[in-house]
Amino acid sequence: MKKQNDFPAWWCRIWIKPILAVGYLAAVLWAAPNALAADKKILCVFDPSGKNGDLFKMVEDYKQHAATLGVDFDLKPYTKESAAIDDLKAKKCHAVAVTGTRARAVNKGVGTLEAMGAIPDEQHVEKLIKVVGGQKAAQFWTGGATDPYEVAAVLPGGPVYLFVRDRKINTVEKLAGKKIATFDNDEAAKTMVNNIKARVVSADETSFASKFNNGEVDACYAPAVAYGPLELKKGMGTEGGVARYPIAQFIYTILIQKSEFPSEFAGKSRGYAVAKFKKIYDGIRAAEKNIPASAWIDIPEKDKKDYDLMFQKVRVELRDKGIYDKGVLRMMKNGVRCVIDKNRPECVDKGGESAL
Amino acid sequence: MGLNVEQKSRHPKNAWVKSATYVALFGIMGCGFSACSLGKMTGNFMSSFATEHVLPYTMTTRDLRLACASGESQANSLLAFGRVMDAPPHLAAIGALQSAGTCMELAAREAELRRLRATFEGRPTLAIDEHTVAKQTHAQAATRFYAAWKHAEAVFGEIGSRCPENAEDELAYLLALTSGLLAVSHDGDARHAAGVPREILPQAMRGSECLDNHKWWGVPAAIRVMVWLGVPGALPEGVDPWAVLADSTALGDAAGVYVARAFAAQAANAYGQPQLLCSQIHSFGEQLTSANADSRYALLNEVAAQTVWHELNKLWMESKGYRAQSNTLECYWDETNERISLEPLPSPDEDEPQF
Repeated sequence: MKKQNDFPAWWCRIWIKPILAVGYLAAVLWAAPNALAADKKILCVFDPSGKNGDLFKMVEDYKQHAATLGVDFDLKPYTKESAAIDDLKAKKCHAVAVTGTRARAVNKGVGTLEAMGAIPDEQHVEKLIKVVGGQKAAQFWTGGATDPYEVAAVLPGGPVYLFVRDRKINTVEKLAGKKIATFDNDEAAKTMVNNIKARVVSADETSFASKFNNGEVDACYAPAVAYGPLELKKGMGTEGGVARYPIAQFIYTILIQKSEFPSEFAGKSRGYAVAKFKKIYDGIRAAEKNIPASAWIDIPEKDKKDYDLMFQKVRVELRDKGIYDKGVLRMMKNGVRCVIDKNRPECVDKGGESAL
Repeated sequence: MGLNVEQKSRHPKNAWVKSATYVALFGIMGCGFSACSLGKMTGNFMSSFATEHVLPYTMTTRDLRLACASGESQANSLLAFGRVMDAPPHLAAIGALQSAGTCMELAAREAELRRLRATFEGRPTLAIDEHTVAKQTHAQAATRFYAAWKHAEAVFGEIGSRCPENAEDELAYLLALTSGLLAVSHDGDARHAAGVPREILPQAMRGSECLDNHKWWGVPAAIRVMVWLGVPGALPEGVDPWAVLADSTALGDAAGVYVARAFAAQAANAYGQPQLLCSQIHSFGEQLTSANADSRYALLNEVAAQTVWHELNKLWMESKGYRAQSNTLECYWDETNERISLEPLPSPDEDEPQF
């Protein structure tokens, strides 16, 4: 009888702790996504056109994906790229979205993805994005144990083309002595221009188009999306054109402060561009369609080989200068170009260690 | 009495038949003499009626959704006259297609707000879906605004290379310039799905020089600022775009047409100037309640109000999960936190004890 009266008490004593523990766990699990949602991470986004620019919109799409990984980003527009990097270093931004060229200061590997002539077309870009998002390449993006930053996304920004005022300038030799608008902060471009014995004319993103359009330079380089708003057709006139052979691929990247994010976030996040590649590239293709068919200059296969050799020389020089990362250059050759076409001279010639 | 009723009921019918017969006869005679057709005559009438009466009348109304629905319902009818006339009524099509674009713009805004709400509620898959809906709707808006721009090109030639020849066309020209900017902006939001060429931006900038900035409420200069800010290298040396924008809003305020304010609010949000956005929202609230608004352009003021309101709604949705409450056009700038607040900031006295 006494035992019967005590039943609730002993039952409770046995079960109350597990019930409370399960309840606590459930509460924690339920609260976790909401807690993350409340804990917004500031992502400082460089786009010269602010929130209206294509780069910012691309990051808006990425933000939706990041939310599925439990990270809620608050996007902050920056029209000056150096300011975004400075604010990352000053910990005012938990993450930044910047160009590969500027990201080189934080992660040499990701800056190397814009290597001159390393990725010739869309098929190669798609392969590159897959390789970049894979496990084998993770070593290049995570940095060392003491490195505070990690690459959380590599997004394709489209090919960078050479715009010329005279379409007869269609070979490496003919570029010699010509004036090319060259970005001040782009050491790689300066090396290329010097290599082909052309003349560097200092420029930046606000001045290169006017220098091209008013004839101060003979050529400039830019992604296709610049053609319309910067009216490069004025500089091209009826004599000029766009060489249909990219000198580089424009890369846009998201760098995070490791300590501010769950350890597995960046790895999962790098899969975003792999999954969304086709969608992202649709926008790039649409921008290229704005360039009239008559403006394109097709480069003969023979001349493409000359360009390839010149680009290769430039990559080696930049590797030796410490601007390009050797491992990433090798990844782009062995993991991308030689996988797509194993008969390329650089893939057949195994002894050519410097052929990157 | 019965006879009278019968007479009354028959008389109008007879009159209608007579009128119709005369119109048909004159139409047939006219066609015979000048190789035209009833379709052409009707088209010419509809075209001039749309530009001389529908547009000015619609401008005096405040019902934005009715205006957009009118544009949607009229656009195809107007353009169909292109089948029986020498050319479609391009001038009339500008207003109709811009109104029709506004329908899609409003729908895209709603989808954006639903995405923000889903994000706030921690429902990322729903947010992705709403983001897709928003992008699709932006693409439709871009297509309509771009169509308005194309009709303007048919009337005025390449925008920016020729100006309107008579003052009566200036309003349509101004609408075309804003349509161009909206087409580019919505196409950007649609990730280029509508294929709107970006060269519209410098063309619109040059086109704005055709219009007197004072006469058109500071809007031409505001258009230039939007292009200067959006296109790297477009800003003339030594010009402060924010000062130009401030002058434009002042001109608009004085004239009682607040379109420049909508540009200012959008620019402030797009280029990371939350303090300016907040002050725009505050002062616009004051303007809307003033008696200075020009009733001839009530619709433009409604468009401007809805645009600024949308910027505010986004802030509310992001931070609270619901849109701004009716009759509240306020936000508060907190310099310490570098953040916009939607609640009045506590005064220092409430936080700090007095010594």
